[in-house]
Amino acid sequence: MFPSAVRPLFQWCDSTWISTTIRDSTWMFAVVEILHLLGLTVLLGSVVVFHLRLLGSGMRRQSAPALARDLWPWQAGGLAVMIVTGLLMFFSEAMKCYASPPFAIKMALLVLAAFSHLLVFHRVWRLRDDARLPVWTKPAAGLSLLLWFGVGLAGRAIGFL
Amino acid sequence: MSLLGICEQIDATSFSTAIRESVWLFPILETLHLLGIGVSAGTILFVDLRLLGIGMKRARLSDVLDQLQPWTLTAFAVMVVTGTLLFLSESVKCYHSVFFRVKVAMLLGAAVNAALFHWKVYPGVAAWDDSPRIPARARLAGGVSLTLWVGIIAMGRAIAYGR
Amino acid sequence: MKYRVHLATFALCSGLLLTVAPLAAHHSFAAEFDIKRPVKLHGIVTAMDWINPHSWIHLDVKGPDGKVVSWMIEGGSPNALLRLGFTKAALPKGSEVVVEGFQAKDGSNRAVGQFVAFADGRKLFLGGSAPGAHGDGDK
Repeated sequence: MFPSAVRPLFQWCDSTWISTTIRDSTWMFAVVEILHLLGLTVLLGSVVVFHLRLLGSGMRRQSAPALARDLWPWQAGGLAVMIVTGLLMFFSEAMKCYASPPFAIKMALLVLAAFSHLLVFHRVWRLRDDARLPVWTKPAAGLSLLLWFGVGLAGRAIGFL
Repeated sequence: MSLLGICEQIDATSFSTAIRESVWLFPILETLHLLGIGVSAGTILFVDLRLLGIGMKRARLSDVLDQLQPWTLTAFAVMVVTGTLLFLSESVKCYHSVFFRVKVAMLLGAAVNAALFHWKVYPGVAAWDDSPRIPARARLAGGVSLTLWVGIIAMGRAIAYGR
Repeated sequence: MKYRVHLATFALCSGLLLTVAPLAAHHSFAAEFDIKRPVKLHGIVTAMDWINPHSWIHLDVKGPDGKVVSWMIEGGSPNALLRLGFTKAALPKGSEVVVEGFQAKDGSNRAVGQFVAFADGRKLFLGGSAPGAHGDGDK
C-alpha cells in the first residue's frame, strides 16, 4: 500500500545497524514487543479515562480540564514508549512493514488519532475548571476512541494477515 | 484423570477445534483480549497510581475507584470470556507453557490482593481520602497490583513464544 | 513523597524484570528463525496442522545420506492461508513438495516457510512471519 517511491527508504531502514542487531538477537524483539504492550496499557488506559469524562460516562466528579492536566504525563509517557518501541520493531522488519497493508493502515490511523486527540486535549486543557464542555467534545471523544482502538486493531492484524 | 488428560480431552472436542481452526473467531477473540487489556489493566493502573500517590493526585481515591470500577469490571468480564475461550482452544499448549502457569498464578495473586484491599483497607478510606498521606497498607496494595499486572501482561505475550 | 516514588519505581522494575523471563525461553517470535539460514526442503507431507495462531506442515525429508528427517514448518494463520488461496485441502498427506523458508536459530529441524512448490509448478505462499511469504513481489 505504500507508494514504490518510498521503497528505497524502507530498504535502507532494513539494513541499518539497529535492524541487524535486533534481528540477530534472540531476546531483543521479545522484550521490545512486551514494552510496546505495556506502553499500550498506559496509553489506552489514560485515553479511556479521559474520554469517559468527555463522554460523560465516568469520572464526572472531576473537572475535565483538571483531569486533562493529571493525565497528560501518562498519555505522553505511554505514547513515547510506544513510539520508541514501535520504531525499534519497525527497523528490525522494515520490508515486512512495507509489504503489510495493516501496517500502512495502522500508521494512517495513528496520525489521525494522535492529531485529533491532541486537538481535543489542548482545547479542553485551556477551558476553565468550572466551564461546561462544548457541544463538540462528545462526538470528538467518540471519534478519537474509535481511532485509537482502530490503531490497536490494525497493529494486531499485522501479525495475523 | 490427570490435568494433562483433561486438557487433551478439551482439545479433542469439536468446540475447541472449531475455535482453533477458525478463520475469524480466533483472531477476533485475541484482538478483543488485547484491546481489553487497555481498558481493564489500563483503568486499574490509575487506581494503583492514586494508591501509590504518584498519579491522579488531585482526585480522591474513592472518586477514582468508584467511578472507574464499572468499566474495569466490564472489561474484566470481556477478558475472562475471551481468555477462557482462547484457553479452551489450545489447552494442551497452555498446560505445557510455563508462562501460562505463571500468568494464572499471578492472576490469582491479583485477585487475592484486590479482595484483601476491598475487605481490609478500602472500608477505612474516608479517613485518608483527602489526605496526601496514604496508609502503608494501601500503598502496598497498589504496588503489588501494579507489579502483578505488568507481569500478567508480559506473561500473556510470552505464551506465544514458547512451543 | 520520595518513599512513594521509590516504592512505585521498585514495583515497576520488579514487573519489568519479569518481562525478561522470555529470555529463558529458547524460542522467541521474530528472532526465532534465522534469515541467514535459508532452507529448501524436498519431502513428503505427513500432516498439516490447520490451526491458530500458526499453521504447521510436517515434512519427511530425505537427507543426502538417505536418512529421513522430520521437519516442522511454520505457516500463517488459517485466515492468512485462505487469503493466499491456500485451502485446507490443498496439501493432502503424502504430497511431494518443496518448501522454502528459513531455519530456526537453534539449528533444530524447524523452519518458517515462505511457500510450498508442487511438482506441477504450482506455488502456494504460506503467509506468516517469513519475509517473502506473501508473494514473489514481497522482497
